[in-house]
Amino acid sequence: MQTIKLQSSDNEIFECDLAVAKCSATIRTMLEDLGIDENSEDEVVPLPNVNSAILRKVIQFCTYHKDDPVPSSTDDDENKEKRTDDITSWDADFLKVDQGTLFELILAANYLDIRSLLDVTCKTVANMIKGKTPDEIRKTFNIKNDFTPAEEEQVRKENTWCEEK
Amino acid sequence: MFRFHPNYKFIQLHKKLTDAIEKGSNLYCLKTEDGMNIRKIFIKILDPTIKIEEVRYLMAIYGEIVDMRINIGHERVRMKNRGYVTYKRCCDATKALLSRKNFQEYFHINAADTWLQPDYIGYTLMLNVNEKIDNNESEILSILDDDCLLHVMSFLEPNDVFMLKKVCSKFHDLADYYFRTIKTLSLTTVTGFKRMTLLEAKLICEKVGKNVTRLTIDSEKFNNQRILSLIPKYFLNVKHLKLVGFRLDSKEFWCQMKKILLSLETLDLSDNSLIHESFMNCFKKSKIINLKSLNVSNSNVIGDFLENVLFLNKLDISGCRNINGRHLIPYTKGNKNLLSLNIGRCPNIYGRALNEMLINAQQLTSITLNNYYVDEDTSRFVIPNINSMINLKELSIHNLNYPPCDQLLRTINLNNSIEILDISYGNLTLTTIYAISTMKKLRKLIMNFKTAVSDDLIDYLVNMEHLEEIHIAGCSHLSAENVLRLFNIRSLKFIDISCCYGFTNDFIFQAATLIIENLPRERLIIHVGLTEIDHIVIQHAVYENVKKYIYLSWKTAKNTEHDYDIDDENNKTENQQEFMLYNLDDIINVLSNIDDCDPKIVAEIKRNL
Repeated sequence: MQTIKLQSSDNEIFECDLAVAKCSATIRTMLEDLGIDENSEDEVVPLPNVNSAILRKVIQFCTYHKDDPVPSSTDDDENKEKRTDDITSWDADFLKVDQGTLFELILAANYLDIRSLLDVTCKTVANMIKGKTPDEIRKTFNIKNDFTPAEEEQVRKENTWCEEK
Repeated sequence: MFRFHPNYKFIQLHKKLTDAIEKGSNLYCLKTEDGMNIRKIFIKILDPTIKIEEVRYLMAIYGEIVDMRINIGHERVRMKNRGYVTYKRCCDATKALLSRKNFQEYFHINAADTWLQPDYIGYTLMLNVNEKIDNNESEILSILDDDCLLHVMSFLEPNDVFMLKKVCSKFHDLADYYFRTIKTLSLTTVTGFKRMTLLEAKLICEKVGKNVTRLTIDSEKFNNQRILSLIPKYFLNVKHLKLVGFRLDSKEFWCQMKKILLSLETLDLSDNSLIHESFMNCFKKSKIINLKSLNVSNSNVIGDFLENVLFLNKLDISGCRNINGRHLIPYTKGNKNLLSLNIGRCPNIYGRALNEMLINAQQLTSITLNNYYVDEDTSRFVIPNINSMINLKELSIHNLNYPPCDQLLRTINLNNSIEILDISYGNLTLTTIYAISTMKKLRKLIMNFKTAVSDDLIDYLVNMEHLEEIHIAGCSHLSAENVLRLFNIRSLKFIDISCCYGFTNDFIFQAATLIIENLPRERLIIHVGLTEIDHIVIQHAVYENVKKYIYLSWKTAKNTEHDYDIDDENNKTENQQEFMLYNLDDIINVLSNIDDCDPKIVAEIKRNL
């Protein structure tokens, strides 16, 4: 089986299946466009935006999902369902991590262009937001209310007078 | 009899409310959309001659006022004649809101938004004091860039984005940006059983309306027709409009909609029982030539209307009682652009008219018929006309237990190019099975709620190369072992076995084995609503192995066979009478009118239930 070497931002080198690495559209284009020879043993693909802890998780995810059927590209965004309750149990377990790791995973999935990982992580965050009041959201994500009184007044104005007949 | 008086629940609640409020209880206070007790009320002065002192006097009747500010004659036009009143107790504010009809000639009042509720401000202050503030920067904001945050937002419903918007300035700006990118808005997908209040809907429409090209609104999510008035106001660029289950019998609504209609490409008004005649007049007077697809099924639209829509590509008038052959024949003569026609369940179209119509409309690619009008006699001359339609790809004949459809299918051309066949309802006969076997190009077979489904059918189906979708929901005499064989079809993407008897978890496990044996294959979606298959399946190890290839959904196919059963429909609406689902506006409207019992309002409430 063909393998490929990936280098994380903290210079750790991961050897993984070519098929697994090709889940990432970014790596795919790198191999094709930049002419990195797939057969040469010494070639290392540098991934300066992903640290080793996150890269390890990403490889774990891609190894599990490498045989997934590719979602048909005919489903354009118009018909996309906003479902967030369809996360499989394996994915849910995989994403039982602290918030920091979860966000790093989103960032890595976005950079590496791994659609399935990006969707499932974003869905997880969306589920953390759904049905909550602004205050509960602030508490969930440790966000400070940084509106100045003037801004707060502005937001209020935008939201008033909904009921003029 | 009194128990069933339409206002019984309201009278009871009104009494409960007034009693409680008299005692100063906070239990029955009105709340804002995110659950804060309302103490602050907005005022808009309608009568410019009224003085501030008079307003204060009127408002003070309901309780002690702690703060009041109104800009009368203020220079800034935007806030002119507007202001607010804050009561000391929320029950007083509730009382004032409930009595708003008393001074509607002078000023209009409404509950203030969360931001300005004193309780809200107090609540956030309290939080700041009591909660140990983590001084670390928030990880969601420091790690994620705007791209990722917007992707997260794309999985949220609009009302969740509104909550997010109030969180902090970063989300405030991002939410505004996100709202500008929304092109498709469906006010129907709000999750759970929660209904959307008009306030929430209005905020969303105001923000996103301008950019939306595809809009869907379902009356199930609103107990209020007033949501419709938002469409002509905010959705100026909508191209595809779908309204489900409303009464569109207001003349004013259609007057306001005229401008929108001009730019629409598709209009779907299915299941809106009453459409005002001014809708049809809109087409008479103005040139609505952009419209390509119109669906007015199950409505009261009259036949004369057709001569004004000769430019359509797609027309659905199924279940329209007021359209008969006299209107349809000239229509098919005049509109040679028509590609798709649905005249299923039209009780006033008869065989001869159908025949002539089909001669005129040979260019059709899709047609839906049924045997309200295809009797044994007419089917004999109808079928040659269908056979000569060389472009026909989609054929639907809803067979309601009579032989004529058999007759129709018996002589079907062996070289037909039918890709989609819908023969739901009725018995499955050998003639029909034979007809199916001639359809070499068949991609989609819909035969929900069919009886006497024999195994012969499956023998033919397993040999079809292009079959992608099979709907056999609610079919009787269907054995699980035979249906299992369908999983050998590699091109299959969808199968609906909801409402079928005899399918257990074991069926899914056996199907899983077959799927593994037939790799590679397309991802398969299986609908299993209302069967013995339960959610335990997806936790099972066998399922875990194939879950990449199948997606189980507990959706259920809709049985529309009894559309004409009016009693049935009435029962349905009665079951929906659930007072808790009422929103603030309606409670206020109802309660403030209960003493004089305005019959119009009562009628509206009854309708909205």
